[in-house]
Amino acid sequence: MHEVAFAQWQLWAVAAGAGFGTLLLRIIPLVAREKIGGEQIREFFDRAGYGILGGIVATSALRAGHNLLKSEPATGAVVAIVCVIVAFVLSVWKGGTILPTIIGLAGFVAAGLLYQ
Amino acid sequence: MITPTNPSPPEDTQASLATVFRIAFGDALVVVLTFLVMFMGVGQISAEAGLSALQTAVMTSLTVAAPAQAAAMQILTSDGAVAGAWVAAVVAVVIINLRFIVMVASVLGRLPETNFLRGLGGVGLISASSFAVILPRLMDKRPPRPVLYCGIVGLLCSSSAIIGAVAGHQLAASVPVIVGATLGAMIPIYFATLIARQKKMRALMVNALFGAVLVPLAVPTMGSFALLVLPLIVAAISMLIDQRKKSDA
Repeated sequence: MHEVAFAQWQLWAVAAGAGFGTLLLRIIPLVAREKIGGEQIREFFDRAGYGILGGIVATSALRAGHNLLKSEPATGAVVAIVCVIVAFVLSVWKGGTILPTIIGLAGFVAAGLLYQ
Repeated sequence: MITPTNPSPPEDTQASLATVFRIAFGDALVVVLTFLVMFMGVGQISAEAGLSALQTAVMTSLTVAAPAQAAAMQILTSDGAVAGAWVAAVVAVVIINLRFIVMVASVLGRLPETNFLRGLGGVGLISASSFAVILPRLMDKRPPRPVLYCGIVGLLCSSSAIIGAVAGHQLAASVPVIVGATLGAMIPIYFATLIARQKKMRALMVNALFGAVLVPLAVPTMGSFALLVLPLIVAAISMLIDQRKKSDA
């Protein structure tokens, strides 16, 4: 447990500072919209956006895998990545998002129950 | 090549709020359910750091970023924390959320022209999860009234995050390990299927693949910056390669 007791104004500063700081980050492209309106710039941001999505998928899958099998985090990570790949392939092959997600999650839960 | 955005058809502006809400709710449902539980953890650590339920709700409503909020609370509760640690906590949140600039820029590029306030209503609450829902939808089957659609998805995600965080703050509840892990796995598995929607756009798939491979490798050294910097670099390189191919042809 931490020993520093923060004043109320400091805690409000954290809550409001983090919230409004993040809001300002979202406003930046809104203000500079004309500069990002070109086709090339938009294509660049689309690609970067999908790169970020890929990064989120991989990092959050690894985290979920580690949480599933804390005694064997490497195995948990492999399980999570395999489930993600299965859902992705099913979605590419058959289309849709919900059914592939359910199948991927079912595999994840089954692996968790099997190992625990 | 990425398909250009079509101008809004006339019926776009006449679709009812209920129609847009139905589409947004269907798209955001998985994220909403996940947020309800995921943010309980954020609420718990916020309580440990000394934040009240109201402060937790205010922070969550505008931040909507569990990793950033968790990092801030970690700074406040760390053993070596000093009275000025609150500044470090705010800076950490802003740094971790820098990626939102790219996400909002990407979404804005696919929205029709609008004034500042409407635009803010549309993208003011975008988070990583709502971005993952919104961008494929805008690129795939664009919903009617897309700015309103974006705003509703953001609001639904933010609201569920607030409810989850406040519940976690009040109850300090813990869920069984397998339930928590499964809910954590919903996000990557569902997002992977959203990425799959753009299977015909090779460039986007390649960028997503490189992001998935490079970001986890770089996180130990670059921290949260990896999620911002590496995708930007990969996107720039892939654009250059494509332009060179075009000029060669």
